[in-house]
Amino acid sequence: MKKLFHNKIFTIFLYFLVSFALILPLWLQVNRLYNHTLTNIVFHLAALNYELTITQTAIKDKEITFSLTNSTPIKDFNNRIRTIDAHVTLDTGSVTFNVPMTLSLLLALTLSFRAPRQKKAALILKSMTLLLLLHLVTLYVIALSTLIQSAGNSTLMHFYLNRFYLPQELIFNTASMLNSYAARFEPFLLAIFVWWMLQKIREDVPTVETTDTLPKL
Amino acid sequence: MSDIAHGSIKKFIILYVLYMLLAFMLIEYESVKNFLNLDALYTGSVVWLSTHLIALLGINVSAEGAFLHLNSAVMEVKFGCNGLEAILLYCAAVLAFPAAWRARLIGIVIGSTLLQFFNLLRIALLAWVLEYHRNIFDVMHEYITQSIMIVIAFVVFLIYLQYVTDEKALPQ
Repeated sequence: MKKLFHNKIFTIFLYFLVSFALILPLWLQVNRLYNHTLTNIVFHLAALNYELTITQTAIKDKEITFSLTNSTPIKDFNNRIRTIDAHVTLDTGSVTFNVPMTLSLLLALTLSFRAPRQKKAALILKSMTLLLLLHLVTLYVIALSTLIQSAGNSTLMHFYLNRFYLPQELIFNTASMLNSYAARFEPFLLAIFVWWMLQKIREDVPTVETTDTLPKL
Repeated sequence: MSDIAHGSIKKFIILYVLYMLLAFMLIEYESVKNFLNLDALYTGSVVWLSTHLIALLGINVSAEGAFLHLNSAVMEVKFGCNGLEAILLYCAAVLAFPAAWRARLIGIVIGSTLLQFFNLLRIALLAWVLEYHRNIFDVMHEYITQSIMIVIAFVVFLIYLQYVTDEKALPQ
């Protein structure tokens, strides 16, 4: 029983290596499109949150630079109209690098256990959708944090953003937590979730199917 | 394994995230950092051990703080690279999973040692790639070695689960 379990772990690791070797080259082809699309979405939302308008978007390698201006007119003490011209650069690769790893790990797990194909597909789909949502949340917080940081470079931007409630410390800490920790624990947690669900499916299935089709640990 | 299937995944996930938050506060919070910088202490010892392992590969190396000076490049061992992160991922899972405290302690000690061993191998491999195959360093660093470390943490956790299940199955 123990031996079989260890073989199962070996099988999972082997399936992971094969899946990863196949998925990684594909990901390297599409990762910039994924990163840039998500970054665009979240940065537009973050800018909207602080009444900023994106005037230009420039992509250079991994980075995207957004040029921003104020949506609400600002007048100084001399009644002169002032315009913000800020540039914010984001590189979101450190957040989304976990996509090929997560997908490979989930494939390895689902391939290692026998369960109805539909349930396996649904599990992978559910987990990857969850990962996408987590990426959106993480990138949104990082976009907010970068915007707040940009206020430090311009008095006008600082004045403009001060009109909003800015829990700076909280946003910085959350962005740091999500960037350094969540990006790593998301695949780990999703893998445990899928493993857990596969165990559950495996225990439920014998009531409708023959037990000898399922691996016993 | 039925314990896993019958246990509450929600409770596990909530506890896991809480433990990770606690770890974040212990390591990243400025006020705690000023009192005791666990990350810097840990990185220092990892850098020291790495120099010995890299030297075994025949590469000239010296350490300075968090930096490893190689023949033709300098490597910085940051938080994500020092292995502490993988250990925290694993330890949070061990603590969140219901088991006897003795089993958890054994799981943490053995698992963390194993993970750190693999991480030292990872740093040595990256140093070797940086010296001799620099063109693939980015992919190796960003995707391959980082992903493999997380998967190793997951595999070690699966082995721990088996150990815990076997412990429970033993007649008292």
